[in-house]
Amino acid sequence: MATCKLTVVHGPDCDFQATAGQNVTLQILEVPGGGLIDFDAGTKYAGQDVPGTPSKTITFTIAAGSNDLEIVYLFSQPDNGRGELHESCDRNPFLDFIRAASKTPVYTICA
Amino acid sequence: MRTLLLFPLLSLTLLAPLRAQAPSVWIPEECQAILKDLDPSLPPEKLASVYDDAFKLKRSPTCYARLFVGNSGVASAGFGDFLKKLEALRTDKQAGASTGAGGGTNLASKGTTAKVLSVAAEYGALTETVNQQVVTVQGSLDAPFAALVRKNLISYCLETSKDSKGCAGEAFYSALRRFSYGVSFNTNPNNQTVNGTASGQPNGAAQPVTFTASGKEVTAWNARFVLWNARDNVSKDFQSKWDAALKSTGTATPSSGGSAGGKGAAGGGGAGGGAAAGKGAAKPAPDTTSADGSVTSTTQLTSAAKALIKPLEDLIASAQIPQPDFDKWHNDSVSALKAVDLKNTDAVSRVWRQRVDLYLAMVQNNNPKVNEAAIAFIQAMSLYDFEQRAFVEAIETKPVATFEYTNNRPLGQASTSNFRLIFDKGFKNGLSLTANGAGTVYNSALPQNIPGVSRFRDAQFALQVQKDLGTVALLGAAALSATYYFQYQNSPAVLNVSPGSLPSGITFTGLPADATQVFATKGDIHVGQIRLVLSPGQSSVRFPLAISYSNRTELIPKPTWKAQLGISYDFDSLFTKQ
Repeated sequence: MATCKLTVVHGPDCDFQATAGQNVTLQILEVPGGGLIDFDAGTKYAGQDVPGTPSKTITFTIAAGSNDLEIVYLFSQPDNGRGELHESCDRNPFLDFIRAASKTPVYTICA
Repeated sequence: MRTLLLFPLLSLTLLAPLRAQAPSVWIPEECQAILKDLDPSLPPEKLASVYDDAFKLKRSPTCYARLFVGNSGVASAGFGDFLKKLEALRTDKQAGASTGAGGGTNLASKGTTAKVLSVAAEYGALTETVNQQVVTVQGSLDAPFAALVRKNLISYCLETSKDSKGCAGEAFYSALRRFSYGVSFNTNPNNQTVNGTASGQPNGAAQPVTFTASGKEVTAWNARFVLWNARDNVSKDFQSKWDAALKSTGTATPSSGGSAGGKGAAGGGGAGGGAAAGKGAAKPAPDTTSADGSVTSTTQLTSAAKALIKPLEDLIASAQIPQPDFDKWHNDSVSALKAVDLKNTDAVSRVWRQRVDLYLAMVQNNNPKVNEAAIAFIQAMSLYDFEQRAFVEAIETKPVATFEYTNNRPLGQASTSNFRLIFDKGFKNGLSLTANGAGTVYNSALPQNIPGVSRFRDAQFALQVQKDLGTVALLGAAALSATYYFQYQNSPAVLNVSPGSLPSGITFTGLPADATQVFATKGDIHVGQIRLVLSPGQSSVRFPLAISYSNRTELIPKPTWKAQLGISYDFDSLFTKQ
């Protein structure tokens, strides 16, 4: 299992800190009662489409500087679906909650 | 008296917790969903994440867009474009006449029809003696509603924003979806006759004549109401369909993560022979069409998802304030909320709203046009939300019980009313079962001099087992069904005749000149049918081909073999394509 690349930063400017050039894989953790969730088409990082959607995981390469990860989620329960966003790595750290009420969160990754 | 006093006390006691939960300040549902996660029992890293979600527009753009727009109903303005592509995504639509319309190929009726429109032309006969050619147009009531919304005559509101006023929501739309209708036209060239009767005195070789026309172009009409829909969004079968439908977009990978449960067997049978998504797994395609014409479209969903990004970026750009100002506001806001007892939800709501109001004021001072960006984003989100619901509903909803009323107006026969209950049940591996029970009554009393005559004409029962064959080489999607049909004939079939106007395809020998009605020997009818429905390629055209054997028909008490064939076009799928 790959080592984790993202560090969660609870600051106003950045959400995650990473090193440019590294590949990061994010995954959706579906929780009981929260329905099915997928990364949907339209998901972008640093202005580029993230390939492979719809899917439960996305992989992209960290770009230098401060860049936005624009996520579009697809919910099988559009009203009350929920889950968790994790990095897919050895520690599988929690990154954020996923809610049907917020289908398009944007995270700023600073590198 | 004591009871009268106890009731309001009890009501107040029961309602008290509800009132306590309601925030004292207006907070959109999208934002409430975040505040509900401010649970003091959460691990610190998760709680910190919720604080970020609560105070960052980027993390919760829908919440903040709703705040900008407010609850004024302005979000519904200009929504006409977003409620589009309302199409039949169900897996079990019937295209073609119901049983008894004459000329149909359906020995058993299915629960659902096309949403927008389907047209079917069919030739043959099932319990009737004479083959007929019938064209049937079917649709659902939600399609006109969708058209009104698209024209901005009715506004559609987000289900997560039910507090919006002046808009029709998903509940109303779902109710309309339960109703469908159909009209069958007799297209036989000789379905209408003109009779001339000599009138007045001849003038030499010229004879005045009074012409009368007889014929019925509308051979039947029906109305349906889905009594019971089964919704399934938790089973393994649903998960399989979900994966298969998403896979059909061409870039998706099957579900791999998640703890909600494992993946089930592929291809559950939808009611009436569905499992369109299941077949999609076998051969991915942008729009997956099954043999019965159902279409599970991801094209619109993908388009709506991609269309979100530009308005989202515009909203973020429009809401920008100087970084030092935002940093200070964010840090102060998080600190303010951390100082509140999170168990006091009212205080949490109040403090959060106070902090957010400061931010909204800063943004609106900096860029008064931020509201326009917020509206544009909500419009795009509403479209995505709508398409998402349509996609989910296509997979999860199956009609189980449907009531159908059919008014039959066969040429040369007394009109009848048919009341039918339809039961659909899908199983795994593309198998489905459809059962019908029906009764028919004459719409008017018949002459009592006909032996055994009664208003109660017949009772019917049909059982159909359908196997979804998946995609067959050269033939496309295919489904094979076997149907048994039984008709208890309580009252003999009666034909209206006149010497100058006999029913099409029937001749009489030795019929008295003054006979106006003829009737046949009544008897129970047993019919067995094998039916193949083909849907070549990704087209929306279906070709039902059937052969049936019956012990008799309504008129002829002898066994007979018959063939039925047809063609139908489901306009719903046309509306789903770009």
